[in-house]
Amino acid sequence: MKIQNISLVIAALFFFAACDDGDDDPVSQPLAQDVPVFLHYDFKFGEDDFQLNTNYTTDGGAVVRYTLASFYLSKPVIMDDAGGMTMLSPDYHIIRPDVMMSNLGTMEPGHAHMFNVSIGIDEATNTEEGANGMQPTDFTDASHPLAPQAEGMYWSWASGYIFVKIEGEVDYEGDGTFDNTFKYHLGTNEFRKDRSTMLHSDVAASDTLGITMAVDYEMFLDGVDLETEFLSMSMGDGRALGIKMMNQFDAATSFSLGGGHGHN
Amino acid sequence: MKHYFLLGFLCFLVASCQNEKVISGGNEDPMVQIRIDHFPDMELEEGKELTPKRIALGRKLFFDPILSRDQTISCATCHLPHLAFSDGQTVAIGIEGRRHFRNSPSLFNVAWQPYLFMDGGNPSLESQVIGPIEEHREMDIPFTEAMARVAAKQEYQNLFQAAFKDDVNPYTLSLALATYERSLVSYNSPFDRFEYARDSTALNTQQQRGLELFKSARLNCNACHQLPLTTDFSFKNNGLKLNYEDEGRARVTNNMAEDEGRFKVATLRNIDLTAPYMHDGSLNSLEEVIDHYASGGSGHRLQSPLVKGFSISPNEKVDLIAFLKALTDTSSYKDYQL
Repeated sequence: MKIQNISLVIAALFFFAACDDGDDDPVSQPLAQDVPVFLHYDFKFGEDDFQLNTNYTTDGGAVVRYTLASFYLSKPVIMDDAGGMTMLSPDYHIIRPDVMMSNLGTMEPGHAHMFNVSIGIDEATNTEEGANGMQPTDFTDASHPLAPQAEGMYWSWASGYIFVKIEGEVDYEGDGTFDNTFKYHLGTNEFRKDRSTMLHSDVAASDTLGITMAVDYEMFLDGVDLETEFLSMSMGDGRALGIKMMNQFDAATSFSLGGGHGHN
Repeated sequence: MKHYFLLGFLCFLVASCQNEKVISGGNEDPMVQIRIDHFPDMELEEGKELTPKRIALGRKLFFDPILSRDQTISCATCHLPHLAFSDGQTVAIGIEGRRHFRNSPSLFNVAWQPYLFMDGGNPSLESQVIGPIEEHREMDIPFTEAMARVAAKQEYQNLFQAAFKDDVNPYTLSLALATYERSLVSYNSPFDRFEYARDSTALNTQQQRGLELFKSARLNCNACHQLPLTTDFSFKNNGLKLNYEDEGRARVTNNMAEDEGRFKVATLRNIDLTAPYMHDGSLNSLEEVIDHYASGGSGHRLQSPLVKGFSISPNEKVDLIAFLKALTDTSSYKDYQL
């Protein structure tokens, strides 16, 4: 009987060990000398700090107020100068204007040659064509970036993630009355922007590697005629404008070595 | 008569170490296996097995207006059981009377659909759940907010624990609704009994003549409406319009050159209950539908070559309609009541 009990305990221990997610695995534990990697965010409207529900005046005299500005980043990677890759984690981040920084895990000390990240969701995961990727309803963890989001970052009718979702209002004359809304829901695989940033940075065990992503929401609207170019869902007749606005967002975005600027 | 509908009590559970998609059941909630002899097997991913508690939970959610922003409509508003889970409207009508641009489809046999929506824009019953909940012209509420509402009710918490041994979360909420929809099976119409159970009395002579017409090379209905499910799930431009406001499949693929006006071939099961017809509900009766196909369509540049027109006498039309009405079987929705 006692032997049976011991066997059960051993079996139970084996079961739980098998179900462990790897946290106790010394190989997967961050080593003491690993270098933490942080991505800082610096959101601006021209020279001003950027916030939702705040009025900004464009060069053309219109007043715009953003009510939503969310986007996905995915698959961040540090490359060394020999082409070796450190896959940072987590893989997916949803970034809103109030996010100041993302913890991207660690890399080994050495040379950080390049930082790669995608604006959007990688094709294998984005399921717009019904592939076997992840869908928001696959997640039991509601806080996962790919789970359903409050602002709706998934097109169920096109089974794909919205990479960049920006909405707001515009007062064309600056007379204090908002005349129209603008909405850009940008996505599908063609829209993803794979960004590479040269870092050329040697990082030692005691260092922290900081990278800053800056988005200028004034530049995002630069050259956009908000009287005619105010709506795109990326599909159908709005496809061309969607592509333009994704390019605008890409152009308004920059990455640089260093970090900790912060914003409001 | 043979029993088509088998409720099998199977052993439970898939033990797994994965963090997601692991749902346990138990003998207190045995799995339900739906197997129709003359249908293809119902393919279910691991962890998505049907059980009475999951079906009943999904049913409760399906009829609960808690999932709409102003709590005035539920899934069942546009998918009424007595209309084979369609709604009798030209197009679906959401909260505040907002009009969708498409007709509400029947939900019977959705378990066999390889993709959802008329344009095939969604690959699974689970992920499509987000669509009507968040769609501005339907229930108009963020999925996360709908989920929070459900989770705030102790009764639902108890039901989710009983059904999934898990909390309300994106996976369990969508799976509950999808499980209920999978349980809606139409398989035992007079046509089924005649064709597959060899009950020669199940169709009268008029309906039998209609069936022959349906299968005939002249009408060629079953080229797309393939038996037994009465659809091949392909996307076809049936020449309903010369100019399509609704791009159809092109809405998903962005390929207007090849996909404009192509829609998934609809099931004909329970068609007597699901008027009006077509993606936009623009045809009010089965007579109008037959007239459309007999006319040869609009001649749209992408019209399917299968839509080429045919001659049909008034008597034949009556026979064909009699057969179509013999595709009615809505009995399974009465199962799994709470």
